[in-house]
Amino acid sequence: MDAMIKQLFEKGRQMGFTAQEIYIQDAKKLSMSVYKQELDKYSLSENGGISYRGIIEGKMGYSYTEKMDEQAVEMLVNEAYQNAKIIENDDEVMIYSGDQNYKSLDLYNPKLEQVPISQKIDFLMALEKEIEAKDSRIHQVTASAYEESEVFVRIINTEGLDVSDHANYCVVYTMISAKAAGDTRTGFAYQVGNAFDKLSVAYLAEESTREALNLLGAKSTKSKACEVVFKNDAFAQFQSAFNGVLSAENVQKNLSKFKGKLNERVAAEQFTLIDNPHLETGISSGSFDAEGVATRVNTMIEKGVLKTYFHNLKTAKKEGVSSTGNASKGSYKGTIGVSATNIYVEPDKYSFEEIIASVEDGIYIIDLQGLHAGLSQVSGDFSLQCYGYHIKNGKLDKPVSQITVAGNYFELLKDIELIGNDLKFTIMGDAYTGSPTIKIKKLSISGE
Amino acid sequence: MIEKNIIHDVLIAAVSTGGDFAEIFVEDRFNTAIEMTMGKVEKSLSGRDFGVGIRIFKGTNSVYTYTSHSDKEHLIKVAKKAAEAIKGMPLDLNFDLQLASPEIIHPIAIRPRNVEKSIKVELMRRGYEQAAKASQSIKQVVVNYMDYEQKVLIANTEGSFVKDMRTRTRYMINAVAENEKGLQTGRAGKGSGKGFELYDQIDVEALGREASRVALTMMDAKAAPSGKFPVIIDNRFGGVIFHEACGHGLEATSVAKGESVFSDKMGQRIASEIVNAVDDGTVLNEWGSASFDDEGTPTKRNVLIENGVLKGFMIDKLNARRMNMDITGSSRRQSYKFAPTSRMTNTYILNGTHTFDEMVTSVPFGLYAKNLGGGSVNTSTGEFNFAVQEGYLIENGKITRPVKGATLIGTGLEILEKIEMISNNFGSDEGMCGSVSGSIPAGLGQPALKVSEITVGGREEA
Repeated sequence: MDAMIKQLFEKGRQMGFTAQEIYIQDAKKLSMSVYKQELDKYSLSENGGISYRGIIEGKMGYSYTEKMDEQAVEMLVNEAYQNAKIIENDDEVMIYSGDQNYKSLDLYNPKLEQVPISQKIDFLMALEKEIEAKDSRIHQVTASAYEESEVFVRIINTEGLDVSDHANYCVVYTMISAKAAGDTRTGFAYQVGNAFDKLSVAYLAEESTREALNLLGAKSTKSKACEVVFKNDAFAQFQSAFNGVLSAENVQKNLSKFKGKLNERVAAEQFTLIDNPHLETGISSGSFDAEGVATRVNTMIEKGVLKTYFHNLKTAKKEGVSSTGNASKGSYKGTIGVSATNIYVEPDKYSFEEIIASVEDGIYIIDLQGLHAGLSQVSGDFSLQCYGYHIKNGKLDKPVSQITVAGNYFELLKDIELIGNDLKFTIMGDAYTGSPTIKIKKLSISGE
Repeated sequence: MIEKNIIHDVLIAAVSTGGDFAEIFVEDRFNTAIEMTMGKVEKSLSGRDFGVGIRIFKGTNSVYTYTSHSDKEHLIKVAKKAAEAIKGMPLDLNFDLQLASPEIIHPIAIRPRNVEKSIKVELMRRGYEQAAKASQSIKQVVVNYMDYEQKVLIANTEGSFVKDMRTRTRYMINAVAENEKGLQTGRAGKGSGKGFELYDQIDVEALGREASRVALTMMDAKAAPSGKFPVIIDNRFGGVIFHEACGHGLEATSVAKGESVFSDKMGQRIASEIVNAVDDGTVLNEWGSASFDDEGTPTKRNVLIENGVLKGFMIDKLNARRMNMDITGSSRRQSYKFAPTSRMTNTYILNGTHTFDEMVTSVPFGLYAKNLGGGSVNTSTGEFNFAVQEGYLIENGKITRPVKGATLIGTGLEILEKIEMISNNFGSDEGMCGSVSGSIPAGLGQPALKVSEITVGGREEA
């Protein structure tokens, strides 16, 4: 590999590139699922790619490949050259020489891969069995699946940078359906981590079946405006759809309502939002970002006040600040963007029960649908299909479905009334986003 | 891409532990993507995807593996490693790989890869300029252009051996309008399975004007009413309602395990009897078309619903075993990184007999959903949601004023039953559809149709 890098940089230099960088990603993936006590799907892969970029006449050109053959060097340099030639944006571009210190993170657990495959299969079999035995209304375990990923990332450039990260994690998840009196409801549960012994059949079985069973017979309700409580991971999913409003790229492009709001109150005082790339249990953790800048913990919103945007080198330079270490690249196929890493709403002191007890007449939302479609990150308006329970006199009441919850994200932030102590992260969404239970003063519920 | 004798040996290695079927999928794809913001090219990326996926069946159990390396020794090693997950005696499968020629060829006049990037940039600029000059209120215009060429080789132990090349190009424009009431976005675009000749046939300047028109219209819109009332869903992208609310539930992925609400409804009436729907991967140069599906089966026109009666599912090889039914030539995957499964290709509701005006006139109070955003569906419960990007109120049989922020929710079965009128203005559109086998180009389309009532989630009470 090192010989090829040398050859690539040499070829780039001859073409006129003044600074060059490559980003290498190698991934190993194992995934399996069990269906009716048989290994239904099993998949194993090793795969990788190389991203190349270089500066020529002040413009950055990008290219990538998954095939490392004799033509790869030529193709990478030529494509990057042509791509640089059509760039019209005049922003200053740079390739980073590196930081003094990078946080040392222990993100790779060698024990995970050493757990025999048969033990992982047994876990899924046990999970399926446990769920099926739980209740006669369980119709089917549609998924009992395990995925294990190992990722190695290295960035090397002509400016002296050579950094790498190695991480692994596993996700186990289950999807179930329950049926009774002609009604079908589904349930979903997951666990994430890189320690196999922390995964729990009992937890997954309980979590996936509870809501599906309780929701059987859920009906729509009359439209109303009322207090709304979001389940922790439902709010996390909701927040993840709006993480982009904190991106300096969106702010600078006039696509974020947070533009011009730094150090202003944008949310209720209880609301603090933190991005922590050093979380050892976080799946977006890393010691450096996609430009090789050392990552750091950033408080985005502190007690309701907007403290910073997410920056990469380019957006930071434009504003005369330093990068927050949030340069991102979807994979070796992407160009540099900006994104959150492990972002979460800081928990407060209230228990879930205390929050529900504070609601006289409202809705408890446990899941939201269509987050990619039913909202506008730009305007903040949202109208989302959801389901959950009525809350009557401080207690959870009948299940409700076929309703939508509508409002505006920026108004909602100010209408946050209570924040729970039960932080949970969601695996849905772009960044790894977490939240405790959250109560909102008022939102529109539409039903019949 | 890879020689036939190597393919043969890899397939043999894959069934060496008792597998009764093995398949190899080789993909070599070249991508180009350019993004222009406010008339300036900000991003341009190109590159090559390459990899090999190997799949093995034993009964209804399946094993999948993929790799980016394609030398013979490595592929055989990978195939054998995957085969370890299957336990049994080798079946001694005999097969002879004969390259099959396609029945349907989607001709490409100009390969997008051979077109200079500067020509693509000019095309983008023309759309941008029209969008930007529509109004002072247009504050942001982003134009995205992409094309790709995906060469595939698919072979299996049944002796099937095919090669296909899928060319796609897409042009999308997003405009943001801003006034004191806030920001609103508008989108327009065109995607196709044609080559670069597409741009001689479409008017990119009109797309620019359209994106801004939508943003400006919605900027002045009031919040949509909420409640249950008649909705007219317009043609073209309106087809996303059928795609989400019904199409996904007809994919074997959810039918085979008895999960879909449509699982036990074959031959039964599931829709109002004026509804006829097909999934057709053969439409020439369409967004979701190909000569062969990703299992190497020639694509087909599959009737899904005829006069309201459920006539067909979309079925892939693995689920065909579970369901004991025939495959439908619509097994698809995003790339070699995904095992293929039954997916939609181009999914259409066919023309009815009414005119659009007759439908509007018949509504005393309702919503006209001219343009839809995306949506999603839970195939187990049939519950769907989708966003109305451009909507209008209908009052006393007339389209009156624009409304924003509406979301349509319901279940597939309920809405199919409530389709009351179908017009004769069929139009198609394009989307990206995400599901178990990744994100793939999916064509959709319908004539305008009237649903007697749908729950509309808005912010104001009706």
